[in-house]
Amino acid sequence: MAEEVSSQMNSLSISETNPSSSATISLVSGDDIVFKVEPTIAKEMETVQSFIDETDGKITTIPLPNISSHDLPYVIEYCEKSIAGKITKEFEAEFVKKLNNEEVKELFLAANYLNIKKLLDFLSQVIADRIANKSVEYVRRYFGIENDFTPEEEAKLREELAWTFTGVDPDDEDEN
Amino acid sequence: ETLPEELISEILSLLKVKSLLRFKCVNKSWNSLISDPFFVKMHLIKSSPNPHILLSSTYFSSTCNVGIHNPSTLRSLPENRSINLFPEVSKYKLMEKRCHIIGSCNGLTCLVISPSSRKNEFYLWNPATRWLSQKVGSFHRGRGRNTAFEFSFGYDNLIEKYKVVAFRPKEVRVFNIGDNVWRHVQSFPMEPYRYSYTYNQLNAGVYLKLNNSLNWFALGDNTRPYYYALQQFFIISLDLGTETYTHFLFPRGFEESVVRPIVCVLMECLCVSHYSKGFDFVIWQMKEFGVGESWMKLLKFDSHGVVNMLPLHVFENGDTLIFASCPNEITCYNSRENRLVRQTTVTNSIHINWFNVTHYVESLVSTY
Repeated sequence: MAEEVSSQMNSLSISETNPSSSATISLVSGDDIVFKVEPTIAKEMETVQSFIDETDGKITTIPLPNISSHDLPYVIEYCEKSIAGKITKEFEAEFVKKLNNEEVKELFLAANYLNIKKLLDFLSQVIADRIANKSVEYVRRYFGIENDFTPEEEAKLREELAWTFTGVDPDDEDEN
Repeated sequence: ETLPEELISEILSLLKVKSLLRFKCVNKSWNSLISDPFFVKMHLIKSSPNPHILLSSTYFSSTCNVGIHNPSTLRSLPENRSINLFPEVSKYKLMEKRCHIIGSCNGLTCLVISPSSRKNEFYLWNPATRWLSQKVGSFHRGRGRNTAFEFSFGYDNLIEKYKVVAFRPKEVRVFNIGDNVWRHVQSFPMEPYRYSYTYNQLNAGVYLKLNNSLNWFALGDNTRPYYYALQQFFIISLDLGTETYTHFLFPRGFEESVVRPIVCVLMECLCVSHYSKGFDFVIWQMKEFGVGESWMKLLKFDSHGVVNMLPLHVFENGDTLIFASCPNEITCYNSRENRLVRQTTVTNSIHINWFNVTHYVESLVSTY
């Protein structure tokens, strides 16, 4: 995993040494790593683009305190593919295969913060697919949700909905 | 890290009903979110582009059997095999009395029970949540004239009410579910053809593409039912909001037909299918509802002797899922090869009601 991330960072720094336009945008992650991207990439990120627009393009270094240097390369990779019109089912399948549940969630929040509609829709579907057939307990753990039902309330509800508890996948504990 | 509620509801709106109902047990806020009318609507809108096919048994079977099928699953059935389309008969064995389904909108189906030959009672049933309403209305034919009524079920988007339309020649009545009054409305300018595949999903609930209407196939001259010429064929459309009619002509390039055409809905558009003189199977699509100039030929292929075909679903790649009744078969039209490619034989001890094949979307809706 770590290797893949660094290889992506390398490819990014290559594009940095061959600037195709002068107005490269610097995105600064929450842990102070700078990622240089083409303006077309920034356009995909509505939050970033509106920041650039508001300052008439004078400011090209944009702090993204909510996004870590671990997540940002994934976001950039997705945006690059999107611009190139190369978002295929195969790409998407490969893309999420590398991500564990926690990473998917973080990326989902990043997509939300950056307001990248396509990535947000895609990750919603990924999370939905990952929880679809799971148990109630699994879902609580997945989202870090406290159960606030009394045991009686929960038992009653479970009884009413007993038929929805059939055919549920066993919880896989290796995910976190 | 927890996700904000609006993102949670975004994710949950993509789930199937069974999972959602189970997840009501997650905590109190999920329980109320999943019951929230706004969320129910959001989920319905997300699930609407993926309609299922709902088959039910004929009126003459002693119980109402329902089979709900995903078109993709039906398409991927192995070739030259047989399938029972009512596999979980007991699950949907609703009531011991004779009943049948007259249509489906927004995930609700409308059931009719006939305690006597002159009386009908209506219920709403959501197969996904297994919710069944109390009796929502009843209809008495009264004494005198003998002709029985036909029923159609639709949803009026404007007043957000479900409506049942009861009709027989020269008489139409409309019932808003919840109001308990049958209102006489203007009768059809042209009678819907009885026993045509009426496709009661022609009003597709939250879809506005079909302009809030119920649609039927009609013959211009009912005294010549076997005269299959273009000038004979019409589509009668009842606007559920204004309760007035319009009629549409068939496409200008429509070739002579050897059997009565079928009016159906594919890809949210009104369509007409028929067999041409050379026994090609042809489907026309009205791209824009009510616009005669928007008719276009969707596909045409050699039927290779497969008769009684009823187009049910068009996939993104242009492939079409087709049911053939008598003998019962599921067939697929492959757009790349421009031909019918495979057949699955349907084995049912229960007879399918081919006049009431309906599109069905999964929803959490349980109010009316």
